[in-house]
Amino acid sequence: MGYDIEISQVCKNYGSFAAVKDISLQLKSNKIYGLLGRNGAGKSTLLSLLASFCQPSSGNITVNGKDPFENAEIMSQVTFVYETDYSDETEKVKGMLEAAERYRPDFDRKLADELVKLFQLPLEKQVKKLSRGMQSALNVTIGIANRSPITIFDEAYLGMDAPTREVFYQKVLEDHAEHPRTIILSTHLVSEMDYLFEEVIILDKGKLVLHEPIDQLMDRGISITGGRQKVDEFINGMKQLNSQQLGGTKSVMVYGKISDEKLRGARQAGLEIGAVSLQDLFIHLTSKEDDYENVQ
Amino acid sequence: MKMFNSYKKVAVDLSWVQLVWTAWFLAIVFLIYFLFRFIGGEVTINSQNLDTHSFLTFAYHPSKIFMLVIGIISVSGFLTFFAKQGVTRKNYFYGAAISSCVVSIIIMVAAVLITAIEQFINPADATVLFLGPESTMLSSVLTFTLNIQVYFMAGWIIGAGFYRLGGFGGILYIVLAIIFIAVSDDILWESEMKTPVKMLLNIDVMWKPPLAFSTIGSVVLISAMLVIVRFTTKRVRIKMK
Repeated sequence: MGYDIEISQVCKNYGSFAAVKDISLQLKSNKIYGLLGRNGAGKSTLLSLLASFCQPSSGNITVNGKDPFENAEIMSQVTFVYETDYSDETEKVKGMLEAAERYRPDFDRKLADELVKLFQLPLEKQVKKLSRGMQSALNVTIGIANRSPITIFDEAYLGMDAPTREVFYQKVLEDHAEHPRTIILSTHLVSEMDYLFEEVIILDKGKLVLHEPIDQLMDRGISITGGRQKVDEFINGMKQLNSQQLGGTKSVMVYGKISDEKLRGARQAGLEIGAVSLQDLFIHLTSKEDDYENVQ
Repeated sequence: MKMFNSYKKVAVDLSWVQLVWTAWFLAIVFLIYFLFRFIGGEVTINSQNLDTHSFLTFAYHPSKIFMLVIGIISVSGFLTFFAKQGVTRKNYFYGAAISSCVVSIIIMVAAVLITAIEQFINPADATVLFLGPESTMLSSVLTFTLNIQVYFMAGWIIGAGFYRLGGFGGILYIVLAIIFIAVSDDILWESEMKTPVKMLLNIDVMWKPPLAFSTIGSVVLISAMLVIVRFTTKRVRIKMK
């Protein structure tokens, strides 16, 4: 059974503050999605809506055609991993894993044991006594071992050191290859996670900036470097994300569909065409207030 | 076919956790009772001599407070946890309601058993049951169980109110809980006391409702409290903590 997610014109307000504004998205099942946005962009709110932690103020969310809110079957198939306050959690690591095993229909004990070893989690230690990074490793262990058809990691890596994060990314990729499921990774550590994503969703100030397969997105962002006049001629009418100038040389980052013919012309004119990293695209697409309107 | 999470699973798990707390609670209450009764000599509580009381009577008030406390922490302690395991608010609600009844009944059974053993060992001792010399076992047991359940519900209402509304809204739920407890304690059950509620409603201080009236009254009260908790938590935003 697939677990396609359909989000239609969803808004979420907290009092007078609009955290999510009129977002529509279709997320086909079994892909890995990267949800990018700056602090306060509405990522966590959107994800908590998907996890049925709250209801939209307006608009609809369906999973497999059904409203997930208070739907026992769908809720049991959605895992939402976020940085949890464990300061009062006297349960041991072992107990937390047992709880997940008891409530999650697809929980894989062997995988959990393997992850516990990889992350060097002490089974007999109380969760509140673990370091922040270890607590995140525990969350991630449960998140991966649950094997839920919809698994959401909301900045799940917080507090982890770089090698641990790398293990996390690798295990997500490996296990997804063997057991395909929808995985949503929200992050602002774009540069180290970009290779994980099949599709990218960018939010800014509660609004959807874009949702595209990563290869198409990467194709749309290019940097052009060369003599100032030639560069200016080439980019005329295109959406500029960033520009730098040193003497007579100018380098501009542009975003948009560019025909092969036009690219060939640029190369012939002596312009240097380069790729733009997802990190740069993310930074520049969410840096100015009116950017998303231009992109749309 | 894999079954998704049912309220039964929640009820079993919550009962288990709360019964572990209950075991500690009863052990401590018993220890204090034992010390007072057999070692301490003359002790009076509420101007009644402890020597004439059974364990059932002694454990009654502490049990009410225990139930109030586990009621207060039920929502904040377990709703987020269960939601994280993919359990619906509805299944949490039913599971927690069932487990609270299980705890009430087990506390009552444990208290009755200890009292029975106590009277078996020393038949001359402690014949006074709980509501006074004229009360029956049935009335004692009913009073005990229903009243501690009302205290759980009062705690649950307070916990639900604070979880959903925070500070000021939560205080309104405390007022609500106090009203329910006042009706239960002052009107339905514990008679012969001059209480503000009786004075307010102009009820004769000595008026004592029949057992059936009190029992039905308590059931109605508990049902109304359940409805309040359910409506408060039905669509509540799960706190991400």
